[in-house]
Amino acid sequence: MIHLFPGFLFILTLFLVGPSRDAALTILLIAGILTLAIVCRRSFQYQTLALLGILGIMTLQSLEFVFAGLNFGFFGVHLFHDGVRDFFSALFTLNLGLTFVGALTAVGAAAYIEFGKSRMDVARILPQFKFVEAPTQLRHVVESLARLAGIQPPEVCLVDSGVPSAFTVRSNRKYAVAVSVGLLESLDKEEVKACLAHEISHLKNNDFTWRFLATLGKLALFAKPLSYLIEPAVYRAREFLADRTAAQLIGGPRALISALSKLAESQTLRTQTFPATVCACNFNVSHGPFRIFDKHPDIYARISALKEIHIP
Amino acid sequence: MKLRLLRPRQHDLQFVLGDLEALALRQLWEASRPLSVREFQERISRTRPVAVTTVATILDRLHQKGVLSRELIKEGGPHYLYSAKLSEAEFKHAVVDDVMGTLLRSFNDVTVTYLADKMAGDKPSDRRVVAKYLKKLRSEGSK
Repeated sequence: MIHLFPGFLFILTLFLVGPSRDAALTILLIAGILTLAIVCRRSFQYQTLALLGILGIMTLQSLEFVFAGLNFGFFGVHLFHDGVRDFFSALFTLNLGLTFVGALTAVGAAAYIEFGKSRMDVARILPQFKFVEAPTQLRHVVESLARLAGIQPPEVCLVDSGVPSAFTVRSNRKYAVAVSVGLLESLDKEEVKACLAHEISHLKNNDFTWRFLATLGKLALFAKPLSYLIEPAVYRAREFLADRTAAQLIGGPRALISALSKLAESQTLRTQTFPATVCACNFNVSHGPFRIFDKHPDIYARISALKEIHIP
Repeated sequence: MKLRLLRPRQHDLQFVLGDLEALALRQLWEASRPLSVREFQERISRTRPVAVTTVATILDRLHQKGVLSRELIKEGGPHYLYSAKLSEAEFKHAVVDDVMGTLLRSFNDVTVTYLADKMAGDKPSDRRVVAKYLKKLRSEGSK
């Protein structure tokens, strides 16, 4: 775990003092370089690589400030030739430009979602899965839950997979709730209903809009350290809320707690990656400080939050 | 079948499969009929405690590896019936074939002499028999 420490310090300092102050910058740079040195000595795993990438961007961002200082000169002395100064000016413009492009893309996506055709074809959205027709009983459960929540009933589909999972997908303004065969096999009726209630709650709470706003925020803060933390934090918060709403829908948290406990047992075994959409039972198996980049909260944290709910 | 030599130091099926995967596959060979996830869980639980969700995930993994085939049953709630693609003997043969194939491709000469040496055993009379047989093979090969 020791190798995570400098990176953590790095992020913490960014939060506490802000990146533009000289003292903070020095600490950040030392922490960043230290982390790079330590991480590089270890075997490259997916997550370390991701962290490395993020740290790289963070370091670049910090460097930007250093060069900005050098560029404008100290005590009236200019350290760089005109060519070098031009290069860094161009770099800053590029950064600004990318942020602008990001914002434009986001606006375009929003327009497409709002004004585009609304049709739902899960097979097209998730080509990695095979879908089969959902049993009528499952449709009925989803419809009654949707009525209870006061929303339009979404489509229901069954994923041809043995891994227990449930998730919701959006195509323009249409929604579909999908459950895997594995979920139906390994949970009892009440627990399946609880998982479905969680998915319905995401729709009731407009979580796709929240997710969209979070992504928009991420783009607006393009490559700024904070952007890597805000989005997952929003996702996690909405996840807890969906659990709470689901408990209210089905009249108590008991079934959802037992479903989550059962799913927790198999979470470390996961091989197949389910879409990072709003999903009752999709787990990322990050540990320790990596959790702050996760879009789904720790399942045990969800269970203990549910245990504190009292439904009148 | 997509198998990987998982743990060279392990014995038996655990050589190529995880502990639970091996246990699940054995249940199928013992039952000699397709089994549902619930049935697997019941049988495995006799040996060690295991959650249904874990069993479902393990079986899906074996299916993806091509060790098991499955059929989706709609009656009585959608569920799978899993069956083994290969019998125990066929499976073990496939593993040995894979391992030996790799060895022969990588270290042909050493592997061949090693095998000949193993087959000859320790008894001098046996070794003479093998030597004679190899000589015969060689003369056939040169013809």
